[in-house]
Amino acid sequence: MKRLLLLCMLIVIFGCFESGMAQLQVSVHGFISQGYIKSTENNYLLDSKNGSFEFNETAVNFITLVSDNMRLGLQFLARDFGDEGNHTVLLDWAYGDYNISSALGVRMGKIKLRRGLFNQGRDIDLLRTPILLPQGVYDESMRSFSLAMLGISLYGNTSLFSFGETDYEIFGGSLSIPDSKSGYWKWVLNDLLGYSEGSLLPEGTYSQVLDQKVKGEYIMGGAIHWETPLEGLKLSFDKIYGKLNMTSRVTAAIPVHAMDDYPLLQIPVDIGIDVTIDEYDTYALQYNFGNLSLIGEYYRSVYITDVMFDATSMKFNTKLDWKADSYYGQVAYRFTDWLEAASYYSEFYPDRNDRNGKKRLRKGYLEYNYQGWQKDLSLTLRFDLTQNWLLKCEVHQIDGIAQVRSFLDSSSKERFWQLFLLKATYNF
Amino acid sequence: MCTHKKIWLISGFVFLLAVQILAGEYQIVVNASFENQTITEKMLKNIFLGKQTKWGNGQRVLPVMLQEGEARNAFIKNIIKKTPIAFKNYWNTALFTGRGVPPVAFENEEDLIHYIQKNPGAIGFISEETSAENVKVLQIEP
Repeated sequence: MKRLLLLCMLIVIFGCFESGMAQLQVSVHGFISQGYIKSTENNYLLDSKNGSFEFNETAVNFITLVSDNMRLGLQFLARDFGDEGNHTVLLDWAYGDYNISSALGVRMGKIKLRRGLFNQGRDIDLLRTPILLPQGVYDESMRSFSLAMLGISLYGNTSLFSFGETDYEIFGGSLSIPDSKSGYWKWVLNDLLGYSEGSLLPEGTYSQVLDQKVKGEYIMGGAIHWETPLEGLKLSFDKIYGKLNMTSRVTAAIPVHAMDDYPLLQIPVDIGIDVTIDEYDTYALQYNFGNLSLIGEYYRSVYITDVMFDATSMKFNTKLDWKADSYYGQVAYRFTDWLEAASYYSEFYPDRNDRNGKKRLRKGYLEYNYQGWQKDLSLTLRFDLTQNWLLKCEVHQIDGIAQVRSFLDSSSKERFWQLFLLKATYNF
Repeated sequence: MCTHKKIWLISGFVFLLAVQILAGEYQIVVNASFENQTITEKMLKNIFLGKQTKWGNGQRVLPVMLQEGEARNAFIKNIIKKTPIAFKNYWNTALFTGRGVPPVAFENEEDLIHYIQKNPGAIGFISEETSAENVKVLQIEP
């Protein structure tokens, strides 16, 4: 697969040099975005309580048609988002697209994963009105690995005659995990190591992470998008299955209470987690009427985690199911060529069988029941200043902290809080 | 007939007239070698959204358009059934996810017509009052 990507790059780069004198014409586009994020309480996604500018993306892409049927392209992306990215340049997508007919095409390489209405374009702020998409459906902390896969997809478009038309796609491959030590994976490991209730190690136990790897074993799924006969009304559905594997080696410092004067006992601990994505479904509805746009999406997932814990004299294996869901409704209206406003209300439940958090509170898994949900009301103003310049400002009123990661700030767990965001983008 | 009904009838007539005027703000032009005399609205929409990339004879479709102007706005509204901003966002999504490249956009009609004259698979639109020299004008079928 790496060879294929390299080949794609070489052909496109070769195309750049050749474009002046031969048939290949290379389209070059890109963007740069800089944001600011500030929360009144609770560090959210990054060090937001103090306000942070570590919220930016830069990308450039090259696309060329090598024949009537074959298109090659790639995009490099660098981002900074708290401890994620840190401006490391990554191959965002790179693939060959062979279009046999409008009803059937094949893509191979690193392909954007089709999920919901916005997953494919999540890195690109200018493609949507809100700065922060509803986080229950589009979790920002999972962005670095949930947007693209290495593999193959078949896609097409066909008319349904008087019933409108449909786009469809099926795909298979594996997720690429560019950074397994920060963001979402850091949160997963920290939860296991004792920064939260119900962890594997005793609370307060200091642990040092020696190594951590995450490997995407496989991912497959399909998506269907129906443009109904009612002008402007679109419905879509997608389904994904997959498997990931995380292995970590840490040292845990266990206090030996009988001998308080002795140093803490350092023990090596190996943790292995197989995460099976048993359900990952997104249902979407979009209705555009002139300058008005209405969107609703519902997402539900089931993760089955098989945790293997191996400390010197203690080994165990446990299985856990995570059944989450989320939904939102958004209304957007474009007042002029340069001004659009949007508002959404979203709800997210990490355990859809315990929406008020009380069951897990009783079992001691949660410190507060409002860790069992996150409800978000947002308002965004988008200013299209010129063809190339874009400015957005956004405010959120949030109830609950289901997606507030405790390792970012274990002391602040306020139920009601606000989030403010600003973002400017230049594209060409 | 009561006054209210008259007002509704007159309003409806004015609306239809406005639609006709808007629909008449552009003409569809193709290379002179193009075989047909007509094209359907649906085919036009699919071509300019990148969903149809070949003509019936297997030749590659080369859609081209104007960067701005009334003809462009009317075409996007009446044929693509989107606002100009939504049309731009549609192509930006395709462009930044690698799924397509938008139609080539020309600053003026002369360059657009010149391109169509030179390229057998090309199709575009120009304003109604512009003289379509050495290209073929297609009638639009609903």
